[in-house]
Amino acid sequence: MFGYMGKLLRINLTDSTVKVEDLDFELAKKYVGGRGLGTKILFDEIDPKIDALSPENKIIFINGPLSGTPTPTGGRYMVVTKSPLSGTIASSNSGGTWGARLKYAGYDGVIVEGKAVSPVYIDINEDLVEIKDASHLWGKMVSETTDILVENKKKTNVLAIGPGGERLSKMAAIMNDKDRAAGRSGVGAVMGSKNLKAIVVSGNLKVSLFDDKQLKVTVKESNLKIKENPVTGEGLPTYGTAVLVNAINANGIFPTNNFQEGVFKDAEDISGETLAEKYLVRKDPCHRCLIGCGRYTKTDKVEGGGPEYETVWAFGADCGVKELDKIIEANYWCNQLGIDTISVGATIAAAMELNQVGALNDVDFEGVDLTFGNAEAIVYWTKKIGLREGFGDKMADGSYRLCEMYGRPELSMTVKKLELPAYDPRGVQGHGLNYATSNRGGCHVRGYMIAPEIVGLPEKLDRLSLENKPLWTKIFQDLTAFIDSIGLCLFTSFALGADDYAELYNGVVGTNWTGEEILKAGERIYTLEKQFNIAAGILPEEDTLPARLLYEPMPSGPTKGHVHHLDKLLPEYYELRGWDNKGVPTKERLKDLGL
Amino acid sequence: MITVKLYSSIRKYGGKEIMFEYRKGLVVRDIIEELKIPIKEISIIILNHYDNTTDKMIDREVKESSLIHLFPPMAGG
Repeated sequence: MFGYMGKLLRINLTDSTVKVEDLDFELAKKYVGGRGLGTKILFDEIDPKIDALSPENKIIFINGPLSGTPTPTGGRYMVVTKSPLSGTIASSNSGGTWGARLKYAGYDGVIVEGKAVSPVYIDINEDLVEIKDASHLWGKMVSETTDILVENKKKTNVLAIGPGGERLSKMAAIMNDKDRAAGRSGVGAVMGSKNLKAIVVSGNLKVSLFDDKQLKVTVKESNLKIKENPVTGEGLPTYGTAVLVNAINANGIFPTNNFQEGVFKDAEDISGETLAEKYLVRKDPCHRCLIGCGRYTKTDKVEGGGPEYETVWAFGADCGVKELDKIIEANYWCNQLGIDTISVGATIAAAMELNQVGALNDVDFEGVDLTFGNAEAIVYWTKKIGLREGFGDKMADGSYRLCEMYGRPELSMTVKKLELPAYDPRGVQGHGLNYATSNRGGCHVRGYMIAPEIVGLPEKLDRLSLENKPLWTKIFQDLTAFIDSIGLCLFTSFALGADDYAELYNGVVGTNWTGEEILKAGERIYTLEKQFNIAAGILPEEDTLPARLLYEPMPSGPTKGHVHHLDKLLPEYYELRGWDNKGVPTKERLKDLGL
Repeated sequence: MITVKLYSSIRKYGGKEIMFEYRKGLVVRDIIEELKIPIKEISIIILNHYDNTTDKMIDREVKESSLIHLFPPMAGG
């Protein structure tokens, strides 16, 4: 089978053993790679009920068959583990070059088990794989750790955690190539719980391709579609993902002050346009990416990668902050400390509302009040969260646990304890359904319904209508599961469709799949994740949204008066998925999907 | 007066915001043409909080105090 390197590394940190295992090609074909294959391996090997931060949990770093190939954006990898934040399956995706490098080192994935007695890092240089002492790195920020480990070595990439992961923040990210993040679900804390600081990868092998000649033609066609598409060819390269700020705000779905409002009056100040005008140094593309949405920015205090749209929102509108330089600073500290910008910003926003309602009267704010609009607070408290100091320690496990601790769980804007991203579902009905049914909790990139509901891709749907939204959401979720499994970036889907992915996949792997078969593979993966969650004890009633979004009409703006109608959408969605009315997959559908 | 707000790449045709004199029977297309913005560069039009694609919104009549947002194709997330 082409596209795969045919080898998995299994590293046990408890007994310091390294094994090379052959990839089961039949399993790889059925579950594709990345998110799909990672979930299958994890589900087969752990009891989903275990404590995510115990040595019994495993963490899998896994490529797709298209990672490291000439396909557009072919460089992404997935981190699959049980999430300490949500208790669900965690599959966190990242770009940069690390994923492709793992392929060039000869491996489709690395399965890490157990727990080291003291801090270690893993050094992979093709056939030479070693577990090394990391006591000199423990406590260091992500960029310093990366510099020390890369030294002057060529064709070497580093993935690491920062103090956030070491101190087991349930919002901890895994950072690679310094400022690329497998950001969500607290995957960094799983590394921290294993005393694993970093994985260094060096290698220069080639990925074998089924039909090199035909693939060249297919890749050229796909690249042309990406270049000629105004979104991937102009909007994202020029303004980055924050190009969305004004459009989301103009629709009245830009969550403001912890989802109390849907319009942020200072949106222009934190927009992609302002970012490009004032702080952008250059584009910062991932491996083999011709879109280049990544930003490299500089203020008078910091410089580095980002911020993304979601970050600008989380620290900006959600905290009522309009100072873009402070948002960039908060983003910088998230990257250094290795914590997720969405969850951290949203947790600070929740703390601000707790404070607004008088629930934090006894808290020592150290002179930096957690009040909406306080730009100093987002920087100060981000550092405190990453270091688990003072009240930052209380915030470090995310907004749900924080709000519950202070007796106001309803102020946590989360689904399955994962903080919601930057779109208020009251004004985007399909996207809200996606939030409620996302297998990792409140996530926008499991089925990005903003594409049809707001920006009109592949066609414009009425954002407030319920008609056909369950079907659209299901298709988006299934296609996304496939894209996440082959190792490409989701943003290619703004220019490419299921048939394009089928051609790229076939050209690399040597299959003869159609767009329909791709969607079926995606559905298989999605359903498998659901089975993992059920086995982990996630309850049917957790397929929901925060009460505010279901029962409190949007108070003002273009979405004024609307709530999210989950109760009208969920039954049809379950039926389309072949799940019963509690969201449990039926035997018939499982059989049909080969599960 | 009608407020026309422009975003990202469309700003090269007139900055962030333009005030446009109202007259009876005016449709969105008239305004875009008079502002010399190529219609093919516009993807989403929001008129008085209602959004849709250019082809569905272009011939809608505007009111005296209408607010129009004009966006080129965009996505992110």
